[in-house]
Amino acid sequence: MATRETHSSEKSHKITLAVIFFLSILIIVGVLLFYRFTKDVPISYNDNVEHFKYGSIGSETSSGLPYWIWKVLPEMFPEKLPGNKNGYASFGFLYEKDHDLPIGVSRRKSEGVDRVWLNCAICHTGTIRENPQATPEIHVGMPANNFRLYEFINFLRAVSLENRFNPDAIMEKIDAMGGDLDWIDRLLYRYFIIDRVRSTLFALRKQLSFMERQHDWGPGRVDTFNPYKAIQFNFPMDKLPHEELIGPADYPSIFNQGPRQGMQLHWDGNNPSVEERNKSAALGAGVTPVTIDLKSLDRIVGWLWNLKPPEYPGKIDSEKAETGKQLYAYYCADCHGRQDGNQFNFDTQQFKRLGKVEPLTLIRTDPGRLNSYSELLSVNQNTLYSGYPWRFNQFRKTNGYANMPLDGIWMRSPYLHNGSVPTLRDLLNVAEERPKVFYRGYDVFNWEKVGYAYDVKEEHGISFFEFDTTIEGNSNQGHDGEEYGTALNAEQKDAIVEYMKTF
Amino acid sequence: MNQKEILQTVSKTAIIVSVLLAVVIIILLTLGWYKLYREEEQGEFSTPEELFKYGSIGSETSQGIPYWIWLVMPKMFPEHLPALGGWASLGLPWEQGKELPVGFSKKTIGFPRVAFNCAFCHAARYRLEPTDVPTIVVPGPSHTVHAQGYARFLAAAANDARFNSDEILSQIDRIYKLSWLDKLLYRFIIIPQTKKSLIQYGERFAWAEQKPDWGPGRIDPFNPIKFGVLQMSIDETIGNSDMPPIWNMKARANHALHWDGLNTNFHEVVVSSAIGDGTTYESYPEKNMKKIEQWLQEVPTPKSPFSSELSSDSSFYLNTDLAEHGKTIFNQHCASCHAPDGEKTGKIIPVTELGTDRHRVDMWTAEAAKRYNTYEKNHDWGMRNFQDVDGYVAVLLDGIWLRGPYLHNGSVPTLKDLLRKAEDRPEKFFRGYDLIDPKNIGFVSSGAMAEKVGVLYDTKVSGNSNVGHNYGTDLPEDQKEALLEYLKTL
Repeated sequence: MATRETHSSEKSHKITLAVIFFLSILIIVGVLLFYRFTKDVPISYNDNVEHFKYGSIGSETSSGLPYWIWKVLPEMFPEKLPGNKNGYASFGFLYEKDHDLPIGVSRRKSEGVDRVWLNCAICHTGTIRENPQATPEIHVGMPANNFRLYEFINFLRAVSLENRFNPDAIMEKIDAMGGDLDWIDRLLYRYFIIDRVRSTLFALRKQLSFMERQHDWGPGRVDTFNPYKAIQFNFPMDKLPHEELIGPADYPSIFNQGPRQGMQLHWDGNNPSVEERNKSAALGAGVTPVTIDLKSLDRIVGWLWNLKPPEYPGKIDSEKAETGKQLYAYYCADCHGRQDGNQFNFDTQQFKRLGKVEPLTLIRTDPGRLNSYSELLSVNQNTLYSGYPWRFNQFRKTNGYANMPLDGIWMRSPYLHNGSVPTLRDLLNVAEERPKVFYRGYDVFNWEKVGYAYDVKEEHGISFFEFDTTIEGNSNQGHDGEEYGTALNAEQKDAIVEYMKTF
Repeated sequence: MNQKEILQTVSKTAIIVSVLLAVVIIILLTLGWYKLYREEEQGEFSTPEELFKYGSIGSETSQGIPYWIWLVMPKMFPEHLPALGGWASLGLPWEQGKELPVGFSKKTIGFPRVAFNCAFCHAARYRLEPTDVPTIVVPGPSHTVHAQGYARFLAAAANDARFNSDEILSQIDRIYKLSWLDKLLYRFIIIPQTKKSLIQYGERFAWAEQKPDWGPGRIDPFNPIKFGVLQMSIDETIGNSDMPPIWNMKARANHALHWDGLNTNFHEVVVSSAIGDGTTYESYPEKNMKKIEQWLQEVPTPKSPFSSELSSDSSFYLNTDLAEHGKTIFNQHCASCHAPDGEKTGKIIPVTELGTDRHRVDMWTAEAAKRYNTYEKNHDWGMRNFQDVDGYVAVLLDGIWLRGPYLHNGSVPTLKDLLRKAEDRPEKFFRGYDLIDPKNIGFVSSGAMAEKVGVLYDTKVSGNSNVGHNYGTDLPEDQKEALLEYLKTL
């Protein structure tokens, strides 16, 4: 009896110890896993320019691609890449030395997965070359003249259909590319992530199928509000009225945001608040009201507040520019502001129509972008960021296009909201005399007419985008007539262009 | 330890355990009450108009939909909406910057809930030019609003298999970070309960599927009361009629109210309408409803957009001489029923005399009036003035330019058509477009946009007849034109 008792108490002692031991292990593993799956590690940079180019704004968590899927996709499906088939660069993503990811793509570890996705720089960083032999110079804040978002989205839509998009094939490729996934990641990828990414892309394929009824936006352009309708609100796009369907517009420059506060922003002037416009653009880059990294975004906003455009790198004939200044003051300044010395003058008291919407009946430019933004969409936007103090309340439907300040205008070609006029000098001609077909996406500068060289069809096996102004949404009409300066003589027009180089 | 000591220890333990248990239960109950039932005031509205547009009428407890569910529903079930555009596709007037469309209130009862209020049926939307942003006028008639479409959507969504905790929470996750406790409550209580309530709501409205569609701007206002609140048996009647304006009520003192004049007391009409919208004795916000009632007495009729000060080539230019001439014709032919001092104004004209569609009149019965006058669910609401009637009220015509389509059932698109003989009035037209037709007065009811935005109205459908009110239809054309010019000024 006694021995049995001792025996059993010893035994129970052992069991207790074992239980405690296992429980401790379980707790430690649990804590480690909890930490692994809940920590949020964004990549950010101390330098503002680096942060703008590569820092995370929070788009990765809900919209992003897991890092290694991002890496293998162009390797696995090179046949689906446009142009020179050179990875993501073939969509116009810009790569810098010593950076694994292109400009405008950031990395963040959240929910235990390392993901990459877009930030502001993707649409607002471009390149310029002095001549075909020069190296492209990268400028932040200018329109992303190279970026072909339409084709990039269609690439993602296309790969979702491929049955090679499966765990075996993708894991094999990751290994072949030297993937550094640990065993937990490997398990996650194999049994969870890869399938989920494919089905997400598959859903995107369906949700954005209206793009098949659109024309290729081409490099440097985006249809902002139709994907917005589909992605933010899941509008049934098959019921979209046709007049709303074609709304491509140029990426804008984002210099000098501070002085723009209160002006009607976006091409159609649908919002006068820089804060809302930024948070709206962030949704477009893939954040959600829950995942948006406001601290990171605030840094970028602060930096953009007074970001100056780079000076015109070519020669300026100051005498000619002076003549141009007088003409510009008469014809253009009231709507567009002007350069005073080395400062752009944004004074809306002085320039009465600056930052205001010009009715379509007066400006007569292509109606596509205006029509793509509907009153229905604007009221739905009132629900974005609901539950947070910054819920949208400034979006409105307008009836025209906003008069933009022209700071750094020399690097913002092609011109008009839809980028239908390749150079400043062409814009001063009546619509009939503007180029009917030209090429976009080439970054060599046209020093004579100010804009990009637009008659080059291809270079080193890269074809540029043929822009046909007769296609819906691409019209180069409007912004012409006596009051727009198109009736001036050639010399006077040259002088205005010379002056605008100083902006 | 003797037995006593043991008993003492046991009872001590028992006491401690039961006290602890009681504390836990009290905490849980308090938490449950706080998270599911505590009532938070909405906060002050700056004007009675804002209160009318967004204030609660106490229907959240019975009809309220949890706000976060309400927000993701149109994204999850767009196929159950009449068109593209989320909630706005139901023709709801929605002001720039406002969280909710006009006619919806948000109130926290445990958790934020959304319900409709008086403005759901009494907010007109109009444009003078197609490119204008709509102007919203309360308390005008909600001629663009698909009330039945809203009810149908809620029921269809709730009956959809994707209306489940997993899918709804994953959608909410994309727009708002709920706390883990809220997520638990949503997952196990709020979402399943909402689904159940909305399915039942659909069942309670299923009788309406046997009857002709309301279409935009119309409602069958009293059959839901008969078959619901008053617990009467489903019958064959059709009550479809236009949502009316309720501005300037003091000018309507002593008028019979509702299209058929089934009640003569404005306060009773307000209360009974709120009951129809789901308010209860416990939730009825006495103070706010009083404010609204008072405001409705005073709120002026909206100013006519027609003006002699516009340039004469504007479609809204008013020819004052012509209008002056029109006034004499009005006095001669219309004033006895429609002028403020008309002998029959505000009185019930027998339907046999009017000759208009009689479905709306037949819908309301002596039995229904009797039941409403004695309706007492837990409380004597004090209804005394419901009556059975057999005609339609001769209404005041203030703001008539914003009250198309015309007649009680909205069967005649424009005033010009109303001055035609019944056989010459449009047999089919489109309702729901908010562009004013300045020539004919009413809303544009044909053409590409009217077809796209609107819904076809067929006067051959039961309850939709456009016959009757054959007054002024024999006038010569020039007199009709003058009369129309005068009507623009009202």
